[in-house]
Amino acid sequence: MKTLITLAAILFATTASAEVKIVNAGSDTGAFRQVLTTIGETIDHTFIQANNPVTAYTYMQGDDILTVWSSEWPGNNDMQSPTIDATNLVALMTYETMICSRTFTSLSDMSGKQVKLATWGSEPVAKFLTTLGTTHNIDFVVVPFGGSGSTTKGYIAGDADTVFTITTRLTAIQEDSATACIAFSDEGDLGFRFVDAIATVNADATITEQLRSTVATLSTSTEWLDAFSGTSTYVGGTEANVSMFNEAVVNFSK
Amino acid sequence: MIEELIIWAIIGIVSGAFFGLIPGAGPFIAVALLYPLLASTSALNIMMYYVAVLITANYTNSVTAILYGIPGDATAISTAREGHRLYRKGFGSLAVSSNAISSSIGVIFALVVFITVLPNILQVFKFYNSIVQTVVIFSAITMITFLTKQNKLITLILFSLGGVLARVGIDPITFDSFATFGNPYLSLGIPFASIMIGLYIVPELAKVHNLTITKTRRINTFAVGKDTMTATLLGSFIGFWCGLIPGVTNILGSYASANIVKRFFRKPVLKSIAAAEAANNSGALSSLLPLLILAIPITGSEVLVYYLMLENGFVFTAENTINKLHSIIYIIPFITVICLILSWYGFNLLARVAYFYKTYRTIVNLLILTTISTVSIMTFPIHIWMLVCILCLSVLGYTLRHLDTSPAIYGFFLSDLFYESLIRAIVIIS
Repeated sequence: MKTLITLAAILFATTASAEVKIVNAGSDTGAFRQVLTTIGETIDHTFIQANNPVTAYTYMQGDDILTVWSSEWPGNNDMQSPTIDATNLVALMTYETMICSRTFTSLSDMSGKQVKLATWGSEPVAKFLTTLGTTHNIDFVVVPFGGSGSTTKGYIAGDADTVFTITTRLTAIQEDSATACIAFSDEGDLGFRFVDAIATVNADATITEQLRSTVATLSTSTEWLDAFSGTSTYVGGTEANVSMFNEAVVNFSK
Repeated sequence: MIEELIIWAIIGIVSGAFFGLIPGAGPFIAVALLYPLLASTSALNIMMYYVAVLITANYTNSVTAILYGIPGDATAISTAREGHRLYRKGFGSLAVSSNAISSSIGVIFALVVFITVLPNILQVFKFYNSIVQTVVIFSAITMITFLTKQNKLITLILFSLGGVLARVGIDPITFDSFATFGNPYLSLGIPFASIMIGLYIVPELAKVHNLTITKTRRINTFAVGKDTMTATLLGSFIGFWCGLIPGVTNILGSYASANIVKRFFRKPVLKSIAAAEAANNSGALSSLLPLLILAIPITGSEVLVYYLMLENGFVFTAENTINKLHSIIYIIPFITVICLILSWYGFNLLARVAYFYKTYRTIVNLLILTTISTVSIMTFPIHIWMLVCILCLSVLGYTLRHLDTSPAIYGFFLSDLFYESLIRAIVIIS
């Protein structure tokens, strides 16, 4: 019996510690990387910095993949996406957005002016800024960066006086004492937030379940709450989570 | 943790000692060969290995310089000229000791400046905006073009070739495709490993293959040259600041230090070796600062380390450098002591290793090439695409073996950075 228990324990340990391939489809300085790195610190893994979803998808043929997949991508017919459903959804993260500035104190303050804005150059962001600009009579000129990390760096270094980014970067941006954050999506000022799925691909149910439990523990830790303040994490492949992701996909579809 | 760090330091010393002895190999091939092993370890261990390789290779690259007049790499050119002359006159022991002692002082000098400057380096970050970044990268490109010994037009063409190859594929932000012609393989882009193997390692190994080497005399005395301290400190100082300039780093430092000493010092032969070697080692360490603080690799081997650490999840910031990599600083003095003993009292042993390589270079070169290629193919998800890229680029690289192909590597990495910074700079200025 003792031998059987030992064997079972060894088998379980081997299964539980199977090496996960973490594939980052985002930029090397962005929030996706930060999420995956944080999870990676708790599990055996190899890290693949794919830089974009097209390259990232080529890694999806392998087993035991963990990735963060944006709801912007499945609606884009120019690229392939893995199926995200109740079986492989580890958690959902919603990123609230904000506009901060060291020159302007409100959106109405920007009215009738040209505003140079540091942000990343993806199409949904550009579309949103055009709509926002039309509503408030603002001519936004985008200073484009590759992710939220480099956007923050660029803003602090003075590349632009205004920044549109996710609220995860609030603390870093407020290191600049002249900055005031003037509009937030969670307060209804901005109608734009990101919904991203932390999901496994070609992984067996044990690994997915283990990762859910890891993220559940992590997401209540002080480190996680500090690092991703302004985001909400919904763990598990529940119907509500899958529906929330699918709704976001429809909203971002071309 | 510390045990693991020491093991990586030892692997780095062994690897750096061997690849420093092979002309043209150096830290680049030392990192490339262990790429898969390094990819599976932590960012701290990767940096430990790289620092150990960098320091050790800068000691041992002077062995072939002194014995044969063939510099291990461009940083040992001054030592090759003066050191080999001393060796032929029977004063090889002075060149050897000068290399060993001055290199050690150069490392310690850089380490002291590193420790002093690092806590305040965060302030640099605030001034490093897109316009400054554009200027720095443009300076690097200009330096690479104008400081090369080969035809400048050829250098520019090679740089552009690297830039074009880097753009093939799909843009990570806009998802626009470039030169993919609807081919799914091309949409993956040209893998960096294939560029490194085909356009750098193949031509470099082909160059070494054609060298003619004869057996050399042993060095039986261990003399110490006098009055070299001032030249050593001067070299350390010049080398440190030159190390921060992208594109030239410690090559310019050792060259400039040796020439200043020759111009302004009396009895300058030994002093110029001391200055060049101190500058070389001091600059090698300072060249890490732009990588660690600003995430800008400024040498070919740093590009590899940059990719490796990124893949490992490391984010290059001043905070991360201070918080996560500081333990390396405590190991460096030990590496320096080992290198001092190895390059001084172990000189004859290193000379035998160098001669062994020269004798069996075909087998060793093939082994290096096969290992790097196999590992690159196995670790890339689409094996066939990596294989095709390696084969095509190796043919191209072999055709270009008479040229210095390193600008293509710089072009591959710097042109995208330059393009992105330039776009931002134009928006900011306009």
